Amino acid sequence: MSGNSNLKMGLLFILPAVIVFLLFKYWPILFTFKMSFYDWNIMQPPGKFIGLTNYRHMFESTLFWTAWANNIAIFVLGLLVGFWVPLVQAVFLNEIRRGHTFFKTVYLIPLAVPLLVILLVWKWMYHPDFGLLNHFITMLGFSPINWLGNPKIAKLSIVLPTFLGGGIGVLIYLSAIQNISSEMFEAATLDGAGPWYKFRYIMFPHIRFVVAIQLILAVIVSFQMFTEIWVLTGGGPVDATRVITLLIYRSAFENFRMGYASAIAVSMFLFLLVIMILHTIFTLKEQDM
Amino acid sequence: MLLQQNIKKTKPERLLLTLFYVFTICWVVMLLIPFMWMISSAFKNQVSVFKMPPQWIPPTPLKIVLTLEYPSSKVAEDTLIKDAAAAIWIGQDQFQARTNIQAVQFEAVNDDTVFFSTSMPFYEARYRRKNWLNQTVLDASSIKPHYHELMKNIKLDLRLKKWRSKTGTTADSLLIIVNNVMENIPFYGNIRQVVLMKSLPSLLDSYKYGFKYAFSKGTENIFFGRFLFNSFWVVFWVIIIQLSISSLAGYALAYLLPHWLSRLLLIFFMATMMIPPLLLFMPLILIMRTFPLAGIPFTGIALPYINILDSYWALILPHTAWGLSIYLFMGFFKLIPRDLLEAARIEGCSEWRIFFSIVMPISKPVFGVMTLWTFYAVWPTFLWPYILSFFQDMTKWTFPVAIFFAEVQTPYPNVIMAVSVLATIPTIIFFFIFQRFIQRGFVFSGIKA
Repeated sequence: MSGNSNLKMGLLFILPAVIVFLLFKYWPILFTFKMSFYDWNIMQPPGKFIGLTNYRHMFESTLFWTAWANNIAIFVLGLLVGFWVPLVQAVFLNEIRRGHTFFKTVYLIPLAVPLLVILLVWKWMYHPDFGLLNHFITMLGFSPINWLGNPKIAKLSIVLPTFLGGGIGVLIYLSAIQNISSEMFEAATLDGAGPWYKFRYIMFPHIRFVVAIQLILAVIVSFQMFTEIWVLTGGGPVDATRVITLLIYRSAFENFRMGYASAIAVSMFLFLLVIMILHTIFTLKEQDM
Repeated sequence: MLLQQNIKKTKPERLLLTLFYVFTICWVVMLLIPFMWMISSAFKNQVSVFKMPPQWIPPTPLKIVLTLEYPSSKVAEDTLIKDAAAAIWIGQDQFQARTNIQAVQFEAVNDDTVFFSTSMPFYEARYRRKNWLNQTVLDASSIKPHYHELMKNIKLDLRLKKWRSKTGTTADSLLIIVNNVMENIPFYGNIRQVVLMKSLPSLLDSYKYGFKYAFSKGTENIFFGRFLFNSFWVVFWVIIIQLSISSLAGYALAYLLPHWLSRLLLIFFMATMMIPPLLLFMPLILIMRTFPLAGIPFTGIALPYINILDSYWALILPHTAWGLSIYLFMGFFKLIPRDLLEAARIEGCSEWRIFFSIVMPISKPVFGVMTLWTFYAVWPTFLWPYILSFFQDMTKWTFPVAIFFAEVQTPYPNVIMAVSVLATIPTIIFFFIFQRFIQRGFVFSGIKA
């Protein structure tokens, strides 16, 4: 069979995919770049070409910088509240023999529930007067908290659901830990090493890259976060949770300034591009190991 | 592995292991609290859901059973309906906001024979009332002019039955209040008995309300089933289209194309996974309005187009390009022994034939996994359908969008929680049936992130 006919068939087989990707991924992203240089008119596209004016407006806007600061704050809070949880759970789960499968299944349950449903349940639990959380807090003797209405606490309320997120992280860490050969641990045990020593000097170096990849993924997820904030606070109170994605949404679909929204989107894209290149490098390194 | 299992444990190690167990169990319990709370809230009514301190077990719902006696069974139906309407709406007006009474059952008797009966849950009465009576306190005279509209399409039971005296569940102050209220309504018939009875089917009232009325816009009602159907419909087409496109592409990448080209194309596909979705939505709206291309790019030359913004295709098409899916198919196809395919080629099979009769049958697992993953990726999608909802008719909403808007419209958390439970059931069923597939998917992917 000639390679030539294989090539022809191959091109035929791959054509639909190429068309779909060009149409729904590459063409829109080019379009976004193009729009960012226009004062885009939805009724009569494309509107007026205004060069870099959108970008100038963007850099001059205080809200733009507030949004980035909010993004960074939410990311850092997310690290403190939720990031370490799956790792610790995976280490615990690795030791546990009885009920191992049951626990693993329970960790997966949040994955099976649609995000929006989880958020609505949390919104109901955050209710200042009738919410479950405030009930627990008053039971412990504290005064109730206005979870979503207090600008100082709203950011924490956004990331708190990840604390109980369970999910796929546990399984990823667990499989990474189980890949470590048990001989090393046995040798360490014979040498009289304690659990902390074994964790610090045997387990952690082996899963370092997995943790790094998860960290970078956390950056990506955190900076793309939209639904969580939109459902829980809608960007309020007093812009305390107004992040970049919400700014894009508002400029594009509430103020209909598509050009300006595209400029913000491009800034986000460039930022995430750097992060994702890091991600790729780390992933390749991890696979080399 | 920190604590070796097969070597005898020392005392501190055993303590540590116990600590691990305790923490994990605490964790699992905490993880389940939101879901327990969702299910518990979904079975409450609009009174008990706001009770403080919160109750985990919903209170038993009650119904008022009112028996009126008439001088003869030949009473005009109109009169009976008038009496029933007064009992139902005044009952709803008086008790829905304070107690766990959730329905009224009305019976008309003559000489121990029931010849007319009807019943209505309060959520239905509340909804019907909304359109007709706006005043805060109802009495018989304010219902009278509207009774015909209020009782429209209600099931009336006209069979003859033997009447038996009923024993209610409560004999407390609540029953006295109910009695008082009923005695003050100027019924045409005479009251024979008023009792409060347990009504366990009323536990599902939040679900029924959500299914019927949570999504009313003006006078128009679109039932929850419609949104559920939309979601299934979109997921169905995405799975069909996406699996065909990706499996063909994966096969081409694995076997048919020269190495350098398939490497290049793989990067072309996988790189798109790095694009933040929000970035694509503004141009996608424009693309959907002037599909497939508004004109030849950057030339200003117009091309013929169709507007698919207000159709299911706008919801379906952007999901069909998914780099991970192509990657997984390619990875799986590469595991197929090459000799098998070469043998078929020597026999003179065309590539189509090879793909459909040899490759596809042995690739059932990867098709299964991708069906599942696509389901989980598409089913809960919120952002794209939400943005589309501003350009689309309400009948095209998928369920996450519908729930979001219901949460904005409806002041009853019990209804929102009930609809949330309904929306979760399909995913949970899928999850428990295909749990093994999910984990097998990780094995195929070979990716650790």
